[in-house]
Amino acid sequence: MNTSVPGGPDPKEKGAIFLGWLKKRGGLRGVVDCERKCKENGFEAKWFIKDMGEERIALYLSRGNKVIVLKDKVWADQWMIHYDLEVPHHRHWIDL
Amino acid sequence: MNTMSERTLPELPESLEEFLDIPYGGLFGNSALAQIVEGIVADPTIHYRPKYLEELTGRKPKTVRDALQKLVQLGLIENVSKDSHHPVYRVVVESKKFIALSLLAYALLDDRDKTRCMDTAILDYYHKNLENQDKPLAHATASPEMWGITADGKPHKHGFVVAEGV
Repeated sequence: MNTSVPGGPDPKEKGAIFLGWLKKRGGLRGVVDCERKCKENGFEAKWFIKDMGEERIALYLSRGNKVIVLKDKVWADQWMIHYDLEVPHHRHWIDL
Repeated sequence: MNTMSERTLPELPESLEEFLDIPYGGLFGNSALAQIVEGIVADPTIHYRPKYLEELTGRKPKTVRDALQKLVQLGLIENVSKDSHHPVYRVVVESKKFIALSLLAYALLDDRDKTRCMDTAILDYYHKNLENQDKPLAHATASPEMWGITADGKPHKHGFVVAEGV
């Protein structure tokens, strides 16, 4: 982990994994996929959005379906670097 | 106060629709292989079972099995299971292909949104992985001429003589 602390709310390591996942999938993804990914990391998507702030990550509608969009990529980048996830190395592997 | 699910949500801008749920913005089509590659590169922190990827992609078991076999051959994933009947795969994060695909994912965002995600990732990768191992090499191989310091007073740049007046 990098020692300097970025600005904005701390997504924590598991949240940063989700942000990285979202960022590598075009920065937007259907809510069902997002909820699954958040659940794998031990939290709920809707609370994560609320805690991080809708100016950073928000829900949209696409043809009647909910979509989560990463809006503040600079903020996400900073926390991903902080948790060493921008280009990940060995991590704590999770068995599904 | 309304919750997010209760109030009316904004519509996704039309320009983003085409990037939704298609791997790498459609650069490699929407094949099972592309879907799986994007999925595993996006989160290399977990171990993947074929059943999980079948659910993720909506593809048939054989299609997923074939794609996984291909990715093992290419060295992007490896089977870490001791049970030959129940394979479990991890992403080979040391693979240059994994790093390049991560950067590609950021590049697609950058071209679309005019952001600098790829540049940020390259800088971070350089500082964490390359700087220490390549700096001594750079110092050892650097000649004064490379930096424009010449004994004869002729202008040099990057080891090449720069033609004056050009």
